[in-house]
Formats: sequence, structure tokens, C-alpha cells
Amino acid sequence: MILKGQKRKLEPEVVDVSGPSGPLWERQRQFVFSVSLNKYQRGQELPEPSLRRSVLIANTLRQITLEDGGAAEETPPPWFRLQAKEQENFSFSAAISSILTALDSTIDGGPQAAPRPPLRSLENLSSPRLRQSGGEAAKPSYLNDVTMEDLLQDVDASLLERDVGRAAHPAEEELISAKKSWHWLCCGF
Amino acid sequence: MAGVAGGNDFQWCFSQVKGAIDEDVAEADIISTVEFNYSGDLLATGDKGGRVVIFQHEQESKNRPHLRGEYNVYSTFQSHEPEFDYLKSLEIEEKINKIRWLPQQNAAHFLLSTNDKTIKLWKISERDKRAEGYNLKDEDGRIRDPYRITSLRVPVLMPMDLMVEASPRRIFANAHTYHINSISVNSDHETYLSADDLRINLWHLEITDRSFNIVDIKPANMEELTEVITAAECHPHQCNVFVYSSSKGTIRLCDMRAAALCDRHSKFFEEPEDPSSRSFFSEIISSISDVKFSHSGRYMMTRDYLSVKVWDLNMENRPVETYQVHEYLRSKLCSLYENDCIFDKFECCWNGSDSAIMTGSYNNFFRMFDRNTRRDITLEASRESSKPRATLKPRKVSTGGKRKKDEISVDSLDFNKKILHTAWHPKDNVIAVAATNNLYIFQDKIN
Repeated sequence: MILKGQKRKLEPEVVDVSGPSGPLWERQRQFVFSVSLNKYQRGQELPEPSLRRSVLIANTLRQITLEDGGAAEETPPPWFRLQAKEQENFSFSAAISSILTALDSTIDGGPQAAPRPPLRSLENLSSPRLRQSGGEAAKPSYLNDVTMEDLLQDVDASLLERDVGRAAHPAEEELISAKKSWHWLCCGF
Repeated sequence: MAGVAGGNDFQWCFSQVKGAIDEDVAEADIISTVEFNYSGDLLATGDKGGRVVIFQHEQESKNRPHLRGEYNVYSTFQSHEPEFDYLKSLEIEEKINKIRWLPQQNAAHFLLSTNDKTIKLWKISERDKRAEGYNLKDEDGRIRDPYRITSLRVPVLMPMDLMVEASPRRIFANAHTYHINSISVNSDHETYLSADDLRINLWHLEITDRSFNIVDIKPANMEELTEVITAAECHPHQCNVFVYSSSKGTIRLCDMRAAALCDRHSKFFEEPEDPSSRSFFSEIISSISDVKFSHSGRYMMTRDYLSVKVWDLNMENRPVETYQVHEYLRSKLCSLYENDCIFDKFECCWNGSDSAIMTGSYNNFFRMFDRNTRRDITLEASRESSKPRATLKPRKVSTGGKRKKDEISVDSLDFNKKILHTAWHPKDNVIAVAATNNLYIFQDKIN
């Protein structure tokens, strides 16, 4: 539901003009990092996170990791600094990595064992594809790259077995039309 | 066409507002897209509930020739229903993301409407005659007993009350793994493209069971994904050219004659970043939310979070014009990131002669820029200024310490009232502005 026209007062933001080494900048950096992590976690709770939003948040987190200007100025004992920095870096990269892996599993139906080539146009079937993972045979390239198992690996096979040979049933229209799209992919459209 | 702002002979005034007045806004009533057809006679809106409402322009009244006619409801239909993706156990929203009209070729009207996954071609046709005097059935439709038929007659067409019917003629499904953000009809009037976060497909309007993938930016390893497609559009005259924008603020122009797969662009438009304005949010605010070709086809316009840029297709390294929509928000980006407003996707549009551009902002404000005079104006879509033929008063946001009378301070802006969707009549100075669940129509005052 929409909030009832609540006018949210924006807190006056103090922009640190002293640059990446200032304490204010560091505080803002930490703030943005924690907000970004919160957003990522909340996004994961949604049934289907927005890919654009997730990518922008992930890129912001990555940027925060790279712009680590403050740590270099400190002078704690070398072993302590190294440990702290490693821990900090580890948490950033782990967070980014988990965001992107989660994107993969949520959006695209699971981590894929074999990279699927994009749906291609008819004209491209005879020419060798630069992106192929080893399609050098004389056969049309799509046959080398895509096997039936690859296409159907995330499909409930029991539903398909029931459908083969039957006329389309209204309740299974969706699966039939999905099957049709795989069919034309295999037939090279 | 007259200019946009200022001048003694041009002013915008209120014409109509459509939608409920209640303070409680039902989620399903939120307008998600607005589009005039090619002649401007029809105006279509789509909402989050999957409905399409089409308004038709009525002829000017003879009694009041100084006013343009009004837009009244012509047809309403349920375009998309909520669906369930069984493979991923996810619900597919019925929200209409985009509507695009096809050029009219006969008495019927055709439009494409899309939600996140499925595009549909709708035919809207009028029926004002009914056949009467059938031989094989009665007037109420019951089949007549064949032995009772002793003579033959020719059915005659009798006038009836006008009925506008909308019927789905094509359903283009199962071609997008990710959420569709754009559809665009090609100038050949036979094909159209649809774009999601990572791929763009080319369809033929007659063929629903296959499409050609022409752009694919999905990396082999999803961990390397740093950029998504945000909008795409076909060139208005060259049927082989289209553009797509990205979340990194870049635009790629592709030529379909160069290769069947347009992963390699023909032109790459990007403005170098200003190092003095760099912040943690530089990339997010550079994300392009809309791209539109000018009617002439010589320019294109992009909308990012804070500005609108006009690009000459012959110059890739920077835009030819930049217009600040709400620069006063730059110092508030941290808060806007926190409350998610920074991810809002504003659209933009050209007027018919490409001399002016329009885009929305917060607090139900919308902005218009005159490219010739370089003047700009901020107007508000509100019920308070919705008296018939009332002239809209320019609004101003005060950024400094002292707030003048009639100005509003940045901190008082209502960020829940956002104008994301606007449309400009292809020929006249008539604009449609969607403010949450209300559609405002403004027109110029003909003096």
C-alpha cells in the first residue's frame, strides 16, 4: 500500500569535501556499506529481486571496497592492520560474491552445469560461434553445444512424460507452450 | 508549435483528471504507462492491476470552439492477469510495463501491451451495426427448426449502440527469462523488439512461437554481471537501427544489417564522468531509465536520475544538451538511497516538433524544457489546481536558505508523489501526466 502522503524530511547530509581520507568520508562509507547490505538482505527476502537493483547495489558495494582510502593512513602494528584489512576485504568480497551467486540461483533457475548459448537467429546456425565452448565440428553449431539434457535439466520430467502424445489440456497449456519454445530451439529456429 | 515556457501567448492549463479522488490508493489502480497513438486521438493507460484504459478524443464542441475536445473513456479491458511460473515457483506480476500503438491501417486499432514476461497484441474495434434476419436462428439466437424454414431472406445490417471490443490477437510468450522493460514497434510495421534486463528479442507481429535474439549481455559467469539493459527503442525511420541503454549510463546503437547478433554495437554513447561530482552513488544516478528517439530520428534523449540529455546520433562522446531536472537532490542522495527513491525510473518524452521535452519529478512536479529558448518550467499535477481551464502556475523549489513565497523547500517535497510516466500528443500541445492513480490532461490555452 502507498504511504498516505507522508512527507519525509530528508536529513541534512554533510558532504565531506576533504576527500577519501577524511573521517567523515569514512563514516559515510561505512553507512553506505551497511545500508547496502541491509538492502541486499531485504531484497533476498523478496520472491523475485529486481536484477537492475541488485546489480546496482552490488556495484556500489564493490566500489566501497575499492575506495578504501582510510585504512592506509592508520598506524597500528603491522600484523594487526593486515589482519583487520584482510578480514574487512574478506567480508566485502564474500558479500559481493554471495549477492551475485544468489542472483544466479534466483533468476536463472539454478547454477547451470553447462553454460547455455543464447537463443540464436536462424542465420547464425551455420557460422561458427566465437562464444562456443568447443563447437568446431561440421555439424550446425547448436547441436554441439546444447543437448536435450541441458535444456530439460530444470524441468519436472514427470510432467513432460504425461504430456507427450496428448492433446493440449487447458490446465497444462503453460507447460505445452514452454515445451514448444524448446522444440523450436532444437529444430534450429 | 509554440514554445514551452513563458511568453504571453502560451500557457498550460488544466483540462481533465481521470481516476479516484480517495486518499487511499489501491495498488492495482496505480498507472504504470501512458501512451498516445500516432494521431493523438487515442490515449492508452496501463495500470498495476493489468488493465488497459483507452480514452478517445471527442470533437470540439461547436459551443466552445476555443477549447480542444475532451478525452473520454473509449474502451477498458483486462490485458494481463497474474500468473504463476511453475518452474521457479514465482508469481508473475500483471502490471503493464509498457503500451505501444501500432500505426493504424484499417478501421480497427492495434496496440502491444506487456507485463514482465508476456507481450500481447490487442485489436480494438468498433461495432455499430448488427445483422438481423438470419435464416437459421431466431433473433434471440436460438437455432430454428429446419422444417420451419420455408423461405430464404438476406440478413440486413441494422444500426445499434456503439460497442467497442478489445480482443487479444497474438500472445508472445516464453521468450524472456528476465523482466521486460521495453517494447518498440519497428518502422517497417511488421516487426518489433522487446527488451529485458539482459536480452533483446526481435519479433514478427504475425509469428508468436519464435523470436530472434539480437542482443545478449548475459555473462557466462553471473558473478561477472555488472551491467543490465534498462531501455531499448527502434529508430523511427531506419528499420535496421535500434538503441539500448544500460545501468551504467551508456547507450549502444546497433545496426541489424551488420550482423544477426548485435552484441557488438555500431555506436557507443557515453559522457565522461565529472570527477568533481563523484560519489558513492555516481553509478546509480547515471543509470538510464528511459531512451527516446526524436521524431526526426536525428537525436535521442536519455533520462538518468538527475538529468535529461539530448544526444546527436553523430556524436558519441558527449550529449549536445543537458537539462537538470532536480539538481537540488544531489546533496540528498544518501537519504534517497536509503529510502529507495534513487532507484525510481522516470520516463521522458518529446513534443511533436522535437522543440520541447518533458519529464517527471517528485511532489507531483513535472518539468518541461524548451530546446530553442532554453527556458524551463516546473508545473504540478494536483487536485488543488484542477479547476476547469485553470492556468497552471509555475512552481519553484527553493534551494538556498531563504524560501520565497510560493516556493517549496526541498525538505518539504513529498517523495511518495512521483511522476514517472508522461506523454505528449504527437501533434498538439496536449499532455498526459500520470500521478500515481490519477491521469491529468493539460493543454495550452488557445488565445
